[in-house]
Amino acid sequence: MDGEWSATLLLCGIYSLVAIATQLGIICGAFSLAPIGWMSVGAYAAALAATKWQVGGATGLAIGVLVAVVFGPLVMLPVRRISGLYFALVSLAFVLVIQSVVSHMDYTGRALGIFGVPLLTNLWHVGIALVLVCGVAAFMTGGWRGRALRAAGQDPKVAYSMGVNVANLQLVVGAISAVIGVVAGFLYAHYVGYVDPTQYGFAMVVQVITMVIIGGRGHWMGAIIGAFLITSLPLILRPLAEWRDVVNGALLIVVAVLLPAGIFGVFGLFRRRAGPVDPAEAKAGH
Amino acid sequence: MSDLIVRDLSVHYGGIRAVRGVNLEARKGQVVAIVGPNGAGKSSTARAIMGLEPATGAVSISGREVLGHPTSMRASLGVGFVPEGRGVFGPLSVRENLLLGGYCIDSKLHTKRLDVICELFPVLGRRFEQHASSLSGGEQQMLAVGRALMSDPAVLICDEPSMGLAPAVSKTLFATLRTIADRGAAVLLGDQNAGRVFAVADEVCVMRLGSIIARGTPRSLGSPDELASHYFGTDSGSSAGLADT
Repeated sequence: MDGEWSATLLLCGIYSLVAIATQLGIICGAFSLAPIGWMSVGAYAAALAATKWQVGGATGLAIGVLVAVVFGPLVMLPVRRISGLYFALVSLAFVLVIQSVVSHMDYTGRALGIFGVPLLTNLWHVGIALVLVCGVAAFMTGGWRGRALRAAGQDPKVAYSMGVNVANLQLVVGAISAVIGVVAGFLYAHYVGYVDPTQYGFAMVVQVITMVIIGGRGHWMGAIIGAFLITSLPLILRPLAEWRDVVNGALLIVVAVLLPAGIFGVFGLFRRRAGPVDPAEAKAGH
Repeated sequence: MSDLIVRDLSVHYGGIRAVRGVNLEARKGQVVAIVGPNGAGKSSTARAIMGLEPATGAVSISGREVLGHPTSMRASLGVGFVPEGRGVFGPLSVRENLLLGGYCIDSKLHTKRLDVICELFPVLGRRFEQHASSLSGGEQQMLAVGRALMSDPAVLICDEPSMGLAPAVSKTLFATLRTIADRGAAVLLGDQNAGRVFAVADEVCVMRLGSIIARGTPRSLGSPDELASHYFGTDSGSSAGLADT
């Protein structure tokens, strides 16, 4: 495979991870941007493990994952009091606080970041991580868990009255999203060879939101579609030279206007239309 | 013993006291209704019993005190809830909505319960894979009731089930609620359509400004128009918002 396409494919995979992490939060009613902050934690864990702590990559990843499991649910806690865009703003604050902290600490290299992270990540690593994360996402969003998550996302009070413990579900999703974010950041740091605070700031937040919206909210596959499209678009549109950004923006507007449920929403429509109509068959399918 | 016992229930919204010391009981096979105009406190009472509003007093379900316990636990103790405005999950299919209602019960029982719901509401069986949002208002209300029945609850709480429904549809729905009670559930029904309520209820509580001001059998309370003139100072049930619409 051409080196440029191979690199793009690898980045598609990494961005898919963080987009799936964000999508899981959206599905359960917690529009959290925290996965981008957790990506930063994973990247710095990789960099510090390799350059300061002098431990193996696996240890760095384990430390990052441990931090995510412990603190991921804590970052999700405010959703008990606030929701929607207000919660998104709180989670954005988490991202910006992490960015601010690492850019002011000598230990994390301040604004310059940390160089010399070993270039270990390859397509296989990303592919395996993506398959595993897809498995987790399918597990979480399938069957009774998925119904409960989606109910919590649509109307938490009604979901509670069905017996769904919405708060606990959201905390579990907070932990899972944080771990996925850490893994994405870890892989990214070991791919580009350095970390700096600008990598995981507002620009990344906008990019991930765009991926989720364009790909299709409400399903983890939508996140993957969005991540692959948005990441590979610059390469696909390269022959258009200086018109590339214009076409890029126009394409996003067209998708957003014509496909409000995102690209995956089109597949969902077909799937629903092709669904079983015989009640006996439908009942047997639960 | 009553399946639902409510003692001295009060609900405050800031400085406003929406429900003032309400006492209620509902036994198996009984439909207990709360009637009253908008703002009387019917929905606040229903939601407080379900744990969706902070309240003081005592609420006992099947002999167990639940006030202070989370809503999800009350559901698992056997309370089905039909919220005001139906609260169906629009993007989910009818089947998924119904299965959510059976969240608290063993999944092996789902098929049997789905059969029961489809027998009560045949139209739902024909719409299994449709998005709930594509159903008509009456069908959505049937779905909301069916979903609440999926867990085979000891107590079914229905908040304004006739809201926005055509008279014929609400008549069918209320008859089904009567059937549900006859099959062994205790039904608490909050609605302002006194005409419909009187046709199915065993006991009616008249609520005004957060308090129950009268209670009795439908026969002892008279017609909806008499009820309106006695308790709300209006000439007819419709002007008090109590008559059939």
